[in-house]
Amino acid sequence: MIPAWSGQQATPAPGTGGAGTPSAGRASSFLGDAWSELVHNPLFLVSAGIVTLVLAIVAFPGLFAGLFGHGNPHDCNLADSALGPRAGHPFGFDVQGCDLYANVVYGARDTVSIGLLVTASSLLVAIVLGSAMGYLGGLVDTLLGRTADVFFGFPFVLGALIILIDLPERNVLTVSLVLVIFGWPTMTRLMRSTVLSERNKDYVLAARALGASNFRILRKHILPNALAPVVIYATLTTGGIMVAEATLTFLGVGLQAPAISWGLELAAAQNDLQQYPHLLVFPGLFLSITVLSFVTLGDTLRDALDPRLR
Amino acid sequence: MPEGEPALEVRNLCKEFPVHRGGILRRQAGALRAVDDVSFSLARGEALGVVGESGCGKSTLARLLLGLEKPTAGQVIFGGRNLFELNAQQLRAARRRIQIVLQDPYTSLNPRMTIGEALNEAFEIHPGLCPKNRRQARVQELLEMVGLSGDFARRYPHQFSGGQRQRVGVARALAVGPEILVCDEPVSSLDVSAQAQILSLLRNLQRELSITYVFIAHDLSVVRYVSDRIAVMYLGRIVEVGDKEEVCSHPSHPYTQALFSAAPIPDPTLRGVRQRIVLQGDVPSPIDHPSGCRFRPRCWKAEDICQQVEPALHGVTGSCLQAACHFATPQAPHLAADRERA
Amino acid sequence: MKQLPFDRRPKEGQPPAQGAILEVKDLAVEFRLRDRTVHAVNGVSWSLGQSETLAVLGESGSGKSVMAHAIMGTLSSARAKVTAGEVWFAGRDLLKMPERERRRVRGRKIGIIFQDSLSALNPVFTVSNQIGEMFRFHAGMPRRAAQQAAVGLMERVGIPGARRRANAYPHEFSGGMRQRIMIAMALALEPDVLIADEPTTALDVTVQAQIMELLRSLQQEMGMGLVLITHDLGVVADMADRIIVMYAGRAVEESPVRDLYRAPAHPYTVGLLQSVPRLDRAEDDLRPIGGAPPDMTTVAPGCPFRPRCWLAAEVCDHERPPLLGVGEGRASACHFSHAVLEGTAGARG
Repeated sequence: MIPAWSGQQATPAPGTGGAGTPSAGRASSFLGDAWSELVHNPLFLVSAGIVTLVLAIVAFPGLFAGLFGHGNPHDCNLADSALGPRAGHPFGFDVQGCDLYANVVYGARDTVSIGLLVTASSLLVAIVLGSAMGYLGGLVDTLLGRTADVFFGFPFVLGALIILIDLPERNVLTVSLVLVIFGWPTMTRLMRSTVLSERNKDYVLAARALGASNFRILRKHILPNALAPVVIYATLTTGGIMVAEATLTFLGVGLQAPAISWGLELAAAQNDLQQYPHLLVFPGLFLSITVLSFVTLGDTLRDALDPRLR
Repeated sequence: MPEGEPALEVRNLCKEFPVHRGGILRRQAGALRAVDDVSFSLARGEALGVVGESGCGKSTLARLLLGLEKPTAGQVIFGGRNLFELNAQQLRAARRRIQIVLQDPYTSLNPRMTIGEALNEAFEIHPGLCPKNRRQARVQELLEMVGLSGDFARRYPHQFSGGQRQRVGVARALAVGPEILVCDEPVSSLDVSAQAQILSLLRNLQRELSITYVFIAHDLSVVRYVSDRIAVMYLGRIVEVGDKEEVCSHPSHPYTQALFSAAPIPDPTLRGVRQRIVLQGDVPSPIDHPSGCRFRPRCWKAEDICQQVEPALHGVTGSCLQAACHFATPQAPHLAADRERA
Repeated sequence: MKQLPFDRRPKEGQPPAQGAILEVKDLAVEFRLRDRTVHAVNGVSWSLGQSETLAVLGESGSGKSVMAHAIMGTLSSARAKVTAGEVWFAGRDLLKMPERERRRVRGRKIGIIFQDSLSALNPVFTVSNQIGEMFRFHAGMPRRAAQQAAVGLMERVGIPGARRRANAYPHEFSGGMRQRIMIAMALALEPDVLIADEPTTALDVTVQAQIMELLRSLQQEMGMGLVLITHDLGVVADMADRIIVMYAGRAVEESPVRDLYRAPAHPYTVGLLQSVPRLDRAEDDLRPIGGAPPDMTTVAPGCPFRPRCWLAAEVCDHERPPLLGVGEGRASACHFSHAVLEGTAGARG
């Protein structure tokens, strides 16, 4: 019996690259093909739609908050404390007596901003350091690699706790900074490995043979091919970052009042969970759906951009 | 025969890769001599075929010739200057004179660039080659020169077959107008029909443009088709070199004879009739090779002297060949049922 | 222009031809991708006699490897589907067998070896373990006996120092040695048929000669049939008794080996023979086949070789030429096969 896994050693889907004349009509770029495929994927459309909606909420919270008439999250009346959903207040009130719907809407801003900010910063660090490590190798790779290992080895929650407890002010920027400090090694490692694998490819060798400078090779050859996996990973982690913020805030070391974030709302809800479940359900639902959408978006992008699946 | 200075001269080229052993304290335990004291010289317009099996160092040789690797010793000289003594700027200029065609058509083109952009890159790196307004036309010319339609410039590599991609690779190498073209196994990854097309193309281009070729392959019949002279490599050394006709009609080194003997010939009438030299054992690892002559463990002529003294490349009596063997004897290879040679 | 009477197209459902141990009838395989369908194999039929060596000659995209996998039932892609055909072995249709039974046929009765020995061998098991697995699984041998048998087999296939190296791992062997190990695994239970899919393509030419020699001697010793799938015209000339030439998923010529090389009957075969640089002839110019390999995503009417054929006429656009007899044991799928035959036979003189 041929051992079962040797079936792996088999025929890739034939017929690719067998075009007698290249596909007639417009030039089909790799990205172009990927896009037309994505547009037909319902999962992509739904998740991209939700993500767009969330981004719109982040950009124009006032617009969305005012939809049910009571758009001011700070307009609180203790007499309404923890009341359930009713006309004009679809999510009810929080413990302070503020309209929960407005708070959830405004809460998107801080949470999602942190998610995007951390992702973008980590991505930037990853691109610069990862390219340097992967392309230059040698001492640069070793030094940066060991540094990354140190940060990577730190237990995240513990490390974040220690730093955040000592900070005088904990706002979006400082919390983001802490998250980046613990988040950069993974993405950088990924970037390093994609750069490494592209660097050894024949077309890079051909470019060197033509006389291309290192900078040119990085810019035109390596980065466009190495970025895709890292960008996809970034979209996947955005969701994780938002959960991390919520976790830290829940533990009391994240954002502080008077900031509004889903994490804070979840933290506030924990005491009265059984009596007033709506305090947990609505912010939790929003957080979950947002995270899920980001993650799904990343998934569909990865499937579309994976050249091996074409 | 073209007179004067050789177009390409290689002197005592060596490339060693250190081999490390040990875990924490990695010591160098030895060296892998991928290319070991290789020398040859080529006249303008001449084509040298370099043939050898895996581990013989031919790919490393290709990279050294292009200056893509730094040698442990030796020189590569063209235009009167040693490639490895040039500074960065001079090196870039030198790259206009020597180019390479790579083996794998599926990875030698950037999947995110159109082939027009890939060809245009040569002009972006060397702006003096072609003024901006002429570049598009020049790209079309290059494509037509290799037998592809000019409007393919807007297409991406994945829309082409292996043979077509390899043509693009050839066009890219020709874009800078090189005098010397190194072909590193350019047809090994191709099908029979694509191989024939590319070989034909390469031969015709060489004649039309008078380019000096270094054509590297593992297939003797392919090498013979394109070359004027043939060098046979084994474990980093040239073991036989000479005029193509001489090498093919009367190879003198045992390894060359074995290569001829093993080469499959598409003629069923030779079955059982053709005398075969079947070598014992596998191609040895380039890391620890035997003392004395490297070919000794697989050679049927081996004697004591072969273990003690490594033979240098020297002229073979009775022919114009040079071989690195103590017992080199020119002998016609058994290629046909009736041994008549054209 | 005489047309010989017998039609080579097999009839469905009939028992295999006389003396054939493996027979393929009208096999068709498709790959259903996201936006297109690749018709990898489009109706191939052949039969293999006992102790016969049948070469399947074709380039990449001709469908030869897919065909081999379809026969063995090892098509790995979920998108691959056998859409038609029968594969008769020992009186049963392999394609209609439940997987459990087919697994017993695989390895025990039909062996297969692949091109890439490194990925076909499991890197985390020793070679004697992997060879021994054949004995343990199929013959129910106890572990120790299987190990002994494995070592014996390694010696038989010419691995020097077999006893000593039995517990080594695949990556510790060279390419030629690994190929021998694969051969050992495939032949452990002395199957009736061995399918070799490009067994020497990745090997050096001196090692290739050794492996072909080994296969030849093993085949003679065991009296098994060999299906040799390759694109190498030299290897085919050396080993085959009969040849099937495949193009675009179909058989375009079938012939005993000497007849094929002496006087091919299909333009593609002619083209192939003219495309190979030869050491035994004075140098001619190569005459490559023009054009590019066919697009396997469409099944155009007419002959698939038409765009590249110098004989092409209008009939070739509309009518797909069937595989018809053109001589003793020969068949060709070309409207002008007799013209080709006369031309090539004449040329050789």
